[in-house]
Amino acid sequence: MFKTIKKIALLLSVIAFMSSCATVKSPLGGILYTNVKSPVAITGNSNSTKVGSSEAISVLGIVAAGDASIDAAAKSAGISKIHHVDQQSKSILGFFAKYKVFVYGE
Amino acid sequence: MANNMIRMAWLARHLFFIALLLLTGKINGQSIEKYYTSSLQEKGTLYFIFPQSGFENNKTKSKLIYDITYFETTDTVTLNFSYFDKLERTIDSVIFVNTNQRFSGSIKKLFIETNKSKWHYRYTSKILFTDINSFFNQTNNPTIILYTQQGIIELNIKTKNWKKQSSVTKKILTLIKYNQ
Repeated sequence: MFKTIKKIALLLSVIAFMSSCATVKSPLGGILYTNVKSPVAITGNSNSTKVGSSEAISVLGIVAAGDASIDAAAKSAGISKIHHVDQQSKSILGFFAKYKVFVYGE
Repeated sequence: MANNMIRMAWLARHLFFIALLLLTGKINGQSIEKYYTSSLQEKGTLYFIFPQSGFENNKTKSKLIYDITYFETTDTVTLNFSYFDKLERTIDSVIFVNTNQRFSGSIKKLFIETNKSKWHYRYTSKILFTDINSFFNQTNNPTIILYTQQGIIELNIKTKNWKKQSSVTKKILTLIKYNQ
């Protein structure tokens, strides 16, 4: 009985340690769930007819990979004149986090 | 006693309606918010359907990921796609094939990069809104064919994946149509 309780406590502490590790840049954040879209930048260019996106992910805060740069997003849609840039931050229980960048321009 | 009966009937009726609402929501309520974004521009709204994957060729182990941009005032959509292949290729054209439909769009190279052991080919194409709309309205699995100087590559999608992808995109395109 004591061993089982010990195992459960160990498992819970591992989960608690691992969760809230995968954090993501966001103006607002929730412990359980985050899904926030927010602005990054705006330029003086007048129009946008193209949209490009780029993203990076993090799993348990142990592995993080991707290219969420403005350059990558602009390149993906062939944008040479940037109008504005938005970002989207998502995270679930700190297990999984995703950061997306959206570039609008022409 | 009678009061209790009335109260029970009232509660049962409300529970029935709540269950009905939840059920209807589950049947019709494919949430599309997480699959697209829109931005209000000077001359109209600009829609962007996030990158979707699933089209693959099992022989060459190559895959295609696409995203769709639509600017309200035009009759065409911009379909950007990334094609990942181990072999060096020169892509000439792309054809979209579905049950009663076969159409192509002019393609333009954006860039070519290497991604680990694969080549990353990034292209952009212009397709009529009506064509893309009817493409996603088909229930049968479609095929995307790439004509390259090194041969023809057929990219197929699994039924389960297509069902979800087509229902989401169809709903977004319907929303765009309603807002025009």
